[in-house]
Amino acid sequence: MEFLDENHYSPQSEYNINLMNMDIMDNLAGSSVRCDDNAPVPELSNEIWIKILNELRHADLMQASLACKHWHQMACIPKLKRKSKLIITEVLEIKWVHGKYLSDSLENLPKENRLKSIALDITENDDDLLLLVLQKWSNSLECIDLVCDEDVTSAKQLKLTSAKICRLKVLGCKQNPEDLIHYITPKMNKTLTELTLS
Amino acid sequence: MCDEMPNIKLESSDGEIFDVDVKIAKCSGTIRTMLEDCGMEDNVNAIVPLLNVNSAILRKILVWADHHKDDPLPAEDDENKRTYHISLWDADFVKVDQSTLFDLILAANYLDIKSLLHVTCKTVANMMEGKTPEMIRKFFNIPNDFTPAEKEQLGAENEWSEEE
Repeated sequence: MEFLDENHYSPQSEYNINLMNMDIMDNLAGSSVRCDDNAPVPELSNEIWIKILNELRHADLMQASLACKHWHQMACIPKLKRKSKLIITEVLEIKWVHGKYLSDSLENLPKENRLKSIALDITENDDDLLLLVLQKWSNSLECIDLVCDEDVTSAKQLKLTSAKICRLKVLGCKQNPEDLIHYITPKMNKTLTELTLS
Repeated sequence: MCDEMPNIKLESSDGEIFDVDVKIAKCSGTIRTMLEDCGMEDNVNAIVPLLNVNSAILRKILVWADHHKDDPLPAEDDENKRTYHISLWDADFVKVDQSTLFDLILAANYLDIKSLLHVTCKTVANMMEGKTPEMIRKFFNIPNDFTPAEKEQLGAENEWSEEE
């Protein structure tokens, strides 16, 4: 899966330098002025910590959520979950990832992110995943590559695909190819330029 | 148009009085409301008590407010529209030790200075960037209170860094 995060590197580099300085300052202060363990740092309210966590990119939020129980609880509130920094990412293509991580990511990924291409390995359990993808990005998806292990209902769900699909590959589907075409052609027959069923 | 801006007096928690340009003091939503609601605006001798801000922090805040006094007020629903850019001056301003930074956050929150609250919170967030949970704990002096069982459960989804 590719997360192209445009804000990741450019603006932050200067702060990294600042932060390094800060680390040094803190260490100096810690050893010479304060008692090591009990630095008199004022406590911040939950509301403020959530404001801070809200500024984190998704990956950093995940790390912060493992710091302690309290932070874990805060990081799990819907506001932060929903607004993970994937929002500023533009994901156009998702390839062959499965499992829980993918479904979480897809749920977090906002509709506004115009996903164009997806390759999915669908097992029985992931059946809802295709539905999620098809409903969420019905207006932007252009390419779908599917591997089906079972004759799941997913083939039927394909009729929800957008009229923009130009490439569709379905591998390992035990459904009768004629039935499959029956589901997908009404909308797609004008745009589809590549169709592989096996 | 009068040449001279009226001043008001702000009193810090430790009793120091600051003579401040009204325009600068109004960077603070809290002070703005106090002045407008209590009709203190015309009262030159009024003293606004700020019970939660000590003189050292108030002095810093006033430097901030002076620098930003001509900024346009942020829109109310700036939650999504805010800029992610921190100016060099602001970045330099928040280059302070952690307890001062946290004091600034608390003061900005109490005084309702949204732009300062955003910059300070963003600065703390930047400090967490790229850090492992253990590094974050160390940095903010947070004890790890996960039980071994919880740790294992979380470990299934996320990688733990065990480095000390």
